[in-house]
Amino acid sequence: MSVPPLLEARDLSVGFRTRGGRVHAVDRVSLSVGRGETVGLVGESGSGKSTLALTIMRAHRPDGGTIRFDGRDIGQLSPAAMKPIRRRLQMIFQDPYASLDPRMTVGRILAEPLKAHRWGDRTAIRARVADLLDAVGLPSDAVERLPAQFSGGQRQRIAIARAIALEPDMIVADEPVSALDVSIQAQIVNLLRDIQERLDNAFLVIAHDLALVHQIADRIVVMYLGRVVEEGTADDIVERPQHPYTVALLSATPTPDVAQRRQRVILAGDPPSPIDRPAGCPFHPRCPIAEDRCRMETPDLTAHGPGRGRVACFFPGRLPPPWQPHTFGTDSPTGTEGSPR
Amino acid sequence: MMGGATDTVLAVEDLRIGFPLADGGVFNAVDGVSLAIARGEILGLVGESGSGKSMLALATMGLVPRPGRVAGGRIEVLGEPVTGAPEKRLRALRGGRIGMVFQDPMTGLNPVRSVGSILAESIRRHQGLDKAAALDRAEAALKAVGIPAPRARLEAYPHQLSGGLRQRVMIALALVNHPAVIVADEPTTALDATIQAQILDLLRTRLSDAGGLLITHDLGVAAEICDRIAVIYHGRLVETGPAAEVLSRPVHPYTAGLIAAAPRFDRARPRLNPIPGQPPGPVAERRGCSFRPRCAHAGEACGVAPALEPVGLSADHRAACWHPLPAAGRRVPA
Repeated sequence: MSVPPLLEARDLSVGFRTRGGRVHAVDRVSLSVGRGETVGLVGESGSGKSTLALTIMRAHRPDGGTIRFDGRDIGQLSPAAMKPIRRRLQMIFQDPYASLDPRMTVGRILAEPLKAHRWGDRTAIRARVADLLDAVGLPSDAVERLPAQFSGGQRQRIAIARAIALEPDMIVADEPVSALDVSIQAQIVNLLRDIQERLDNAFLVIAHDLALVHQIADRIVVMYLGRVVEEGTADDIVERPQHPYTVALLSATPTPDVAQRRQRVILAGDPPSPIDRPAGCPFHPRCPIAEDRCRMETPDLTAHGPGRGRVACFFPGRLPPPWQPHTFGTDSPTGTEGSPR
Repeated sequence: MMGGATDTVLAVEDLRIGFPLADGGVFNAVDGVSLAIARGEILGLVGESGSGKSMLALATMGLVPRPGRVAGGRIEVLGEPVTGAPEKRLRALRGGRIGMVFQDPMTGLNPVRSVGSILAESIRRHQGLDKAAALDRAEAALKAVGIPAPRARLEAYPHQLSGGLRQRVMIALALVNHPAVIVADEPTTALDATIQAQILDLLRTRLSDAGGLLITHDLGVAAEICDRIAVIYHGRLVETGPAAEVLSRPVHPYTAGLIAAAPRFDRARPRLNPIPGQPPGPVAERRGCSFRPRCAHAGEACGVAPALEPVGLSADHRAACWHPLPAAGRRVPA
């Protein structure tokens, strides 16, 4: 395990100027993604997850902290110095309608990054575009068509083809399937998995849907109000959540399994705004188990056991998970009938 | 199941909503749908984009957008026809016997009016109270949906509230005149998970007097609060029945496919089970079952459209399929 991670953000802070002063959307966040690893980043509106993703892509310049990509700090690089990094670090957005130029044919959309990074001559690029369309399951005649002629799921396939054109080491995907219908979502999730098996690339997947993230990620990072509140393997997060906010998210994520009726943990109030950050633990105003200490001190993100993840809570594990411990014991596809409750 | 029961608050019978196509044909976005909702019951109408679910919701409020029109069948609220009713009567029904909750509360809340004035106007129109009494009712309505400091909130404008609070105001407005039925079209889709849980809890507890029609793309949301589920595909119901039974023992391959495609916490990773292909678009002429091109069980019989028929489980569990998933050992495909 001495190999350094592909991406490592340390104490990263990102702020925005507002009338009320500088607001930290991302507040001293540390996060790493290993080679070939899929990390899921979950949180609600205002959690800072998308700002963090855009900062890693260097659409924003961080106020503090470092972003190491393959060992090199890219946090303060100029756009020109970022160009060779971009070849290896690509992004997919939520809205496949907005992220593709409506006036360009799919062929041009896919050829553009190849030309910009001098993939090869015209013949090589044409062959590469054909390969890309094949890899994402689109017909070869798509090259001559415009994005508007495709459905939402197909457009996301085009965006994925563009992202993998240069065989990046890492893809940051911000809500890649949340605009799509359920049956199409599953197709795209599986396509991303196929791609990872072929390219062995790392994924940082930002999503609000914890069930989806659990399905695709090796590790999960939970953010709340600009901070990481819990981090762990996907199974640990779901089966042994430590932070009360993680427990609430697990309880609040609707899934169509009726037999496994969960205990409802319903949080009061709205997520606070980074403009009006509560003192102490940022979660304490909504936390069902908060005590006096939580109103005064801010807990650090610390390991909660050997080989376990990290949690920022003075009382980790005190709020039990919303399901019985046996829920995950059986690996039976018929588990929806008569499973223990 | 249709009509007869005296406690039916909303009845939809053989409804067809047609849209003219460029080639001169007509596409029925809703094509022969029948359903009934009893007092105190929440029915979840589940479908993907383009399934016709939102069009059906709009039709229950007499709001089918042009150039669409109700081409056949009828809708009744407490036995009173909505289809064919004059606009004046529809205005009395909306916000009166029919409460409405939309995905984006800004659609239903006038942005230049305060919350108090929006609620009071609706109360005065439907209950004939004076202004002071209406404001008192408005305050009580906000309190009933869990809005803190309700008197002060009467002064607020919709844009000054968070998304969750706005949706609570929308629900207060939908409930304030004691409707027979609430039609909620994707009421939590725009909300964060923890806020969605609050709003679903509110709908679950506050709808008990009325009937509820919940329109959603999310089987998980339907599983949370619905008593019955109806699954719609390409304008037609493919399966209806008690929620728990439809979710645990789906009979139509499309329902089973939707359940299998949804991410969940208790299943092995890392792949999901997609439904291949894509939903069909608008067509003038349907041939047989619309799901046939995506269905692993399709056969020759599927060239003729199947009727919605009992499946041998609960009496009101029905499916429209020539090759229903077998009753013995039926399970959610994993």
